[in-house]
Amino acid sequence: MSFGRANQQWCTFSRLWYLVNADRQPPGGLATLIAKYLQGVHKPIYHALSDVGDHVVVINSKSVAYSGNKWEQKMFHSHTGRKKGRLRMTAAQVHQIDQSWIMRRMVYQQLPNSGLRRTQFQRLHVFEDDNVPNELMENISGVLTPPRRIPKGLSDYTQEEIDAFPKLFSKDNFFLKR
Amino acid sequence: MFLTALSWMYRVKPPVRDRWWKIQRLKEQGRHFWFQSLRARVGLSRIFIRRALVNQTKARLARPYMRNKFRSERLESAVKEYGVKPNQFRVDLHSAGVKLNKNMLNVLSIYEPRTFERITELAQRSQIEKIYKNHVELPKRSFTSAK
Repeated sequence: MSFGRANQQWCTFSRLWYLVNADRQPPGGLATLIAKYLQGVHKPIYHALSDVGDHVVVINSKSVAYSGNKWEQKMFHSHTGRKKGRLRMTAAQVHQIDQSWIMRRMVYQQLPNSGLRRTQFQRLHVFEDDNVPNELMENISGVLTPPRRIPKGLSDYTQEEIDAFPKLFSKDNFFLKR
Repeated sequence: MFLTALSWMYRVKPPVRDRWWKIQRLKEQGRHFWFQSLRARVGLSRIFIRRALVNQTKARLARPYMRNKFRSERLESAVKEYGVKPNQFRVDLHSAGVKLNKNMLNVLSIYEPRTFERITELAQRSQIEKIYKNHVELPKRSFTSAK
């Protein structure tokens, strides 16, 4: 019994799951990347009316990094529709309440305002830290490279690597002492 | 004076407008307003019909541009899967003498992914050849010699 090219079609239209680490990343820049994957723009079969987007799992959204003075200056607005129903908060205030809200909000803004917007947004899974449930981690098949390159800190090296690093001079007892 | 009278006789007459044919046309075009009465289809719906025809004209004019953009986006995403830069890809294919247009490349990338992979490889090879060409003499049968 042969399925012909059915398997190929299933593979082509299957939804993939991607993982992104939002640690020290700009929320807006990361959201443009994620929104493309949620829409399926990265695929050659992309069409605006067909739902071909992938799932994206974002971890460490608590340590997202705005540049400049945006934590104080950037405002998020809401209005209940009634009189005096205006809500206005800085990014820092919002981040204190919910550490994954900013990331979700920025991605939602990047998605096009069409009928598929809510559906595509439901395929975004944001977590404050790296504690992701196993049933999600089982699906993940790829990792996205975030826009900003993270430099390696001194604490990221092991003691062996630090010892192996060539030293130009060694400190004696009288180093910088007067 | 006689000439003036004659010009009045041979003037360009406007076409005779027949109300009956106009109503027939509106009935035909507003057929999908099934929830409205026949009278309303001729009267009220004619505004919507006119707007629809205007939009149709706009869409017809914009369609080639939209199609071109759509195909470019698809080709970009297809090329990026193999780690090739889209603009460089076009240049390299030209130097390799590949005459496939954007639509055909799209079709290949979707239905014949292996063929498309070889085409991206060809583009990369021709790019390397162009650099080598400045330093060493290439053999007669090379990728870029087809042009």
